[in-house]
Amino acid sequence: MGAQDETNFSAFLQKFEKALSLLKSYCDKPKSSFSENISFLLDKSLDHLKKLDSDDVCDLHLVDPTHAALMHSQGVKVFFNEVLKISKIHSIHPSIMTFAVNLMLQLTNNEVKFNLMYSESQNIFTKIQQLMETTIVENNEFKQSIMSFCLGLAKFPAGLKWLLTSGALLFIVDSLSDRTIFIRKKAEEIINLVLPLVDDVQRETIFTKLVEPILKAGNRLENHQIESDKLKPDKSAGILLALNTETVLFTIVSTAENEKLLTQSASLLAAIYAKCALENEKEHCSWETKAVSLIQLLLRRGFLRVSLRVISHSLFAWSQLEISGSFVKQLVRFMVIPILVDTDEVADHFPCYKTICQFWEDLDDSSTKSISSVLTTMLRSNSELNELTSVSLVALDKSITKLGKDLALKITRSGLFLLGCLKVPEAKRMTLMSFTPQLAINLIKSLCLYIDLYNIRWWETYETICLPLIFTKLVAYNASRNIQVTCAGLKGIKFCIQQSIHPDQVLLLNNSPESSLNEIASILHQCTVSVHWEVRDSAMEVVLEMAQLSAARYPPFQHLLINSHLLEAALSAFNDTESYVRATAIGVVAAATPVPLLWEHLSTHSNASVINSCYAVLQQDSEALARRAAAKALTLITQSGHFPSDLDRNVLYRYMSSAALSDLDWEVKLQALDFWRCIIDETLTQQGMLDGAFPEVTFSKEKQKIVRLDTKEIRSRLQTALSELGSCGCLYVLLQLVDDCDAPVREKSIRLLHHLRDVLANYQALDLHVWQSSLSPQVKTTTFTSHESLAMEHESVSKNSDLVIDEILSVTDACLVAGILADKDPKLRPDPAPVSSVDAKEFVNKINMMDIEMMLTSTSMSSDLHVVDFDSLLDDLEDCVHTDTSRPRPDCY
Amino acid sequence: MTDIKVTPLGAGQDVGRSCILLQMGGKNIMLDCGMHMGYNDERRFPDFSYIADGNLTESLDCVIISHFHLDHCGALPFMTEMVGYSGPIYMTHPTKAIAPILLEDMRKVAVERKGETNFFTSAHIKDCMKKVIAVTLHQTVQVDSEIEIKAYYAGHVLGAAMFHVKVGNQSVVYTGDYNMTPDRHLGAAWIDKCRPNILISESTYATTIRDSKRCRERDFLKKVHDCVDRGGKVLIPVFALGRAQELCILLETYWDRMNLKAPIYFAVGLTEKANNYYKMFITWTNQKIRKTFVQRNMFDFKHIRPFDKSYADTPGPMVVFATPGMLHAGLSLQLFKKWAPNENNMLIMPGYCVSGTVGAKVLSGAKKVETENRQVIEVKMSVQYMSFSAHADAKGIMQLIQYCEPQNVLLVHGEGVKMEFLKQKIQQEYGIDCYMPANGESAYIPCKPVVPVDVSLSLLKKEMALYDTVGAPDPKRPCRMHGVLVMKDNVLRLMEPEKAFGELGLNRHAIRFTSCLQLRLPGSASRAMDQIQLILNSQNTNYPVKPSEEGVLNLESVSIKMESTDKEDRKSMMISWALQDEDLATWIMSSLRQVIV
Repeated sequence: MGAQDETNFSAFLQKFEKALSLLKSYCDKPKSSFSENISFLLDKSLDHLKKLDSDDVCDLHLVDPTHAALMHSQGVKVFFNEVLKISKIHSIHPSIMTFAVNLMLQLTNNEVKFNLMYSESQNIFTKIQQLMETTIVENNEFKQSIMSFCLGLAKFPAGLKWLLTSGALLFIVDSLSDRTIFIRKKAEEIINLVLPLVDDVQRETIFTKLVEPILKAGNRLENHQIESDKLKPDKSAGILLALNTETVLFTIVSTAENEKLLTQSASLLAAIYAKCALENEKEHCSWETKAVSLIQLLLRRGFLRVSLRVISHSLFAWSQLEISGSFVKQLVRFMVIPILVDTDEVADHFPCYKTICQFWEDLDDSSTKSISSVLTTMLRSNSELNELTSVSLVALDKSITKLGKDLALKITRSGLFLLGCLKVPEAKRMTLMSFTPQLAINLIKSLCLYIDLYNIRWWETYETICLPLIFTKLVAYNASRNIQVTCAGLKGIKFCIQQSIHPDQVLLLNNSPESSLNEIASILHQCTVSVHWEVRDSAMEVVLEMAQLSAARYPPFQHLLINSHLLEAALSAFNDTESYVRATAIGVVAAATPVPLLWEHLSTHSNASVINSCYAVLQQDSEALARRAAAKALTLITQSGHFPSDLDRNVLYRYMSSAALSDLDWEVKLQALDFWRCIIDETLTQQGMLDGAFPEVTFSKEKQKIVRLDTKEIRSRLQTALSELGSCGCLYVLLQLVDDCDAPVREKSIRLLHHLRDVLANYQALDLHVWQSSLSPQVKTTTFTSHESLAMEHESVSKNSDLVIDEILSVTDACLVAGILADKDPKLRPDPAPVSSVDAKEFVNKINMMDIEMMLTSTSMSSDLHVVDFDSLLDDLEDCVHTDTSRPRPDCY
Repeated sequence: MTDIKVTPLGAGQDVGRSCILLQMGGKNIMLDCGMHMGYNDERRFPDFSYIADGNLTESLDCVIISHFHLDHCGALPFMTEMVGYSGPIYMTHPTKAIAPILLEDMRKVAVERKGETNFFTSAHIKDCMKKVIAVTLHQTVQVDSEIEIKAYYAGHVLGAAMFHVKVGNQSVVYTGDYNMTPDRHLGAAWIDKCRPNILISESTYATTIRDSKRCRERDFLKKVHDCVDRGGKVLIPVFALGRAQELCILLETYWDRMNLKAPIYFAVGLTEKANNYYKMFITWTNQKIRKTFVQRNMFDFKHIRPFDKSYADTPGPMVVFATPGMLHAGLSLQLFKKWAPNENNMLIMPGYCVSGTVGAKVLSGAKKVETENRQVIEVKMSVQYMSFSAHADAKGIMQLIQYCEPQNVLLVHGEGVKMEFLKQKIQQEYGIDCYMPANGESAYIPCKPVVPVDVSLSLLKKEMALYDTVGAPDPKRPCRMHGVLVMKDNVLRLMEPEKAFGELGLNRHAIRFTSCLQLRLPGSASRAMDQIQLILNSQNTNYPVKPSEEGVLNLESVSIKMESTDKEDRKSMMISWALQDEDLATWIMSSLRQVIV
């Protein structure tokens, strides 16, 4: 809706006021007449207003003219006054009041707008404040809108001032203990914004309210009375401490037995310490000491999992500060201990591993040494070591962006050894069997994350070179055991290949027979015939990655793909039962197409022609995903010049015409249109066009000499090009698809026509006189193949339909399905019809008559009509007035 | 900690995107992860930032999806691929097979609509599905060392399941959407009498006793037949998979039996997909004809054929199933535009339509609809909304409560006012607490702490033998057991004392209690003992008094010994007993006191 321009602007205002008056009419009706759909529509109508608030308007604190007009509008004022009347709160549907408050939020969401609105309608603000003291705020929906309104105001000084002076603050403070998490969170956000401006008394009121549940609950095991998120010590650590919170929390931490209560209290305490350190940097050491004592206390009490969680929270909080680098390292050291404990049995096998351990041990200072040793001892005897290692990995992931490359490198090396333990048969703890799936998945994810984030290269930590092989071992072991771990491992292998982590790749060596890449390829081959589609597809994705890289970045993959029969595996997967696998396999073939060696292998070593297989999928596959992939593959094959004879080309055109015209999935049609775009480009290039223009001279293949391209010559060449495009079906497809039922398809075909018309216009070739009819001017229409069957013979129905219905309804669907079973193998779709030709002159005539710009505008409009059109929304609102609310509404989708 | 906490992020007092957080025994479980199709911004997905600031993998132990409807699983790819949850996800096999098809449909709708932001891609859907662990009905799955889940048949749609989630000794049943009345398509929901702490039940039709689906199907067939009889065209906009196939079976059979000639077209490119659907359907519903089905392999409609666009202008009656289901674009909209102005034609909407779509407009009764290029379509064709969804109605919900005997009920997926009514009814009828938290509101359900104890078979038999005299104990009532409670390796076991000593390698020490009574009895000590024996024999018939050679009287473990004192008529009587005969010893002493002391 372009309300910015003059005409639309007043039209929008009128429509909006109409919507408001429609709503106002509901105020006098019984609540039951209010259809639930209206709330949703009201919500959507506000989106139209929001859209007018462009980023500039918000940032520069401007007022959109439509918003300003609404503020001045008498109709809007009347609406607010009518809907927000205290005397009417019980008779008006809460959704209408909610809408009114949300509208107010839109009209007051920056300082300038607020001031304008306040000067225009101060009484509306008073009404909203008064409503906060009534029972209507018990309505969840309405209360949420009030909180959003207050949050909006809290973001600029004038609004904040109103909150503080109007008494709304008390309502917000009360909302801190609201029953719903949505309102509590909003109240917390507002409080955080308000805190710097409130006086000491107000501040104390707020914090007393905040810590009330803790002070009340003390050490009783009522975990729900303490919500750690309620007490974010963002701007408040000092005050929280002043209110005796630390003592209360410390008592809970010292005595509580409930793990959740303990974790919440201790994490909060740890966060308060970190915040205090930030507030008073000079004394950060004392807060560090307190944090250490807290961890020590938890360990002394034997709560290992709680300790790790609190260390994790502390690490996250302290890593945000820049003052305590060494303390952050200590905390990282604690988080790494589970990994080290998990791996310490490999120390003897890998001398360099000792260096890593030594690095971490060297980080221990006198105050934290005891924690490290206690943690190590406790973890060694813990039966849930895998789970605890997962806790520490997730915690490290959360803070990794703040830790710096050096620490990330060390963590990566430690993690690598943990994953590498799988290779050590002597290791007692970390055998393949004892590796929990979740730990394996988390570890693979973490390692890929660190390597990617910090761009860790093999020369920075040599252990990464082993990573692809480690993943391969993991995949080999889990392939028949755990689908999720296998898929994660295969994803890891793909990541390694993308990142050139394998030494053969980084050094661009030809892979030798001993290369571990062969082992990877062998495992991949096994995975391509797994019984689980997830594994087959993940393996095929790795093969796809290899095929893509083999073209330029790493040619030795070509031999690997051929020697390990992975291309044959891809071809076999064309008939896979799962469409995802079929689509990926077709993708592999498509990626192999531009590589001569791979294409030659595919052409000579497959039983069925690759192209025919693609045709079969394009025409018969039940899933659009696979058909799309086939269309793409055929496009790539064409671009690579693998259709030598004219005969092949004709079949191809037939299939691609059929895909563009008859496929029932618009994404397949779009892909087919991409193919036709390539054909257009190819045809024009053959006629001498370079980069969208004809050069002054070109080499003529027919005349075997350089010729000058004057206007006449160019027109002649364009005519040849159009004739070719017309006879191959391209022009027919484009002309047909401008009326397609799917907007994206219409848009794309119109754009292609636009492109062709521009080319013709550039060389004054749109004049019909320059064209001769080369083909009979006919556009072949598709014949109705089964018209006979459509001609309805209205046979008199001899049977009684009621009896038949009774018979049918008395048996189950399962029996009916059995009755419909057939022995024959139905052909899913008929073979594609021959292509329809269009004469070049006829085509030019047609596009001359088309208003392509207009078509483009209307197509792009139509695709979002139902989402952004305000008229449509108004219609819906009006229709809702007539909707029978007692009718059962659609309940699920 | 004994409370179970349930917080709906969606479906709390509303029918929208279902997403319920369950916290019990220190574990966090997400039940369903649905989307709201009406929005095209962040409001369509549950706000995961409320879950521990969005650190989902750290905060959630698992996600359970009840069925393939998008209001129950639509946000899953967003959650796993865009928010970053990497923990386990569980659903049944058919749900895992069908959900990606519907998600793909939804993705295409989103891509088609302009102004869509932050939506998942095709690759996201695939990667998400790879992370899903498929479960079989009645298979107990161990999520981790503490969480155990088990799926039960829920009816509603193919693959829909109710989940019994157990953490330690607490358990919850989440129904998802279910149907307690069997229909032709699917059977009724069924669950063990598992007596969970909470039954989290949908309540879409909390106050309704629904007309049977059979009535709606009859209506459907009649209306379609009437329309083609008068030469009209019937347009049925459908989603890719699910209801379309259900209605196809119905029409195909009806056409066959009535020998109708009007063509039925399936324009959604799904005659092929139908094969897979029906294969799953047969496996899910009926084992008997499965074999036949597999042997004959292919499924083929006689009357339903693939649609070609050119048929749209063909005169005469026809029935067409076309996507998309909400008439917002594509073939269904194109056919609607052609056919709407003819009053002979009919539109049957069997599913949900998002506001703003042509489908929603015509369902609201709009007689003129604007489509592309400001083209106004006059709607003269008849418009029918037919809901074929199978949900439990009030009666069904009460029936399920009766089946599984929960200690508490929590209602979700329904309208607040209707829930309130059902809540009262449940409380009155079953005398159990019923909760109905709104979205974002947490319900804390207190649960009695239960300590599970293993009991050895021999001890059970021994106890049963004791009960034999008074009749077998009522299995529903608590009864007393006697044994030694042994705690070893964090497991509590009630054992027979002898076995316990043996297993623990302990020597048995018996503790005896001794009491001394001063009696006034003339004569010798042995005479006094005879006298006591007489008294005891006369008053007690259950326990025979056995004198020993040492002059001691024994009744069970009670020993009575007499000693003379310095004074002639005064005797000192020592009564000694083991703990198990405390009552007998007390009785002896009080009896002797009354008679002699």
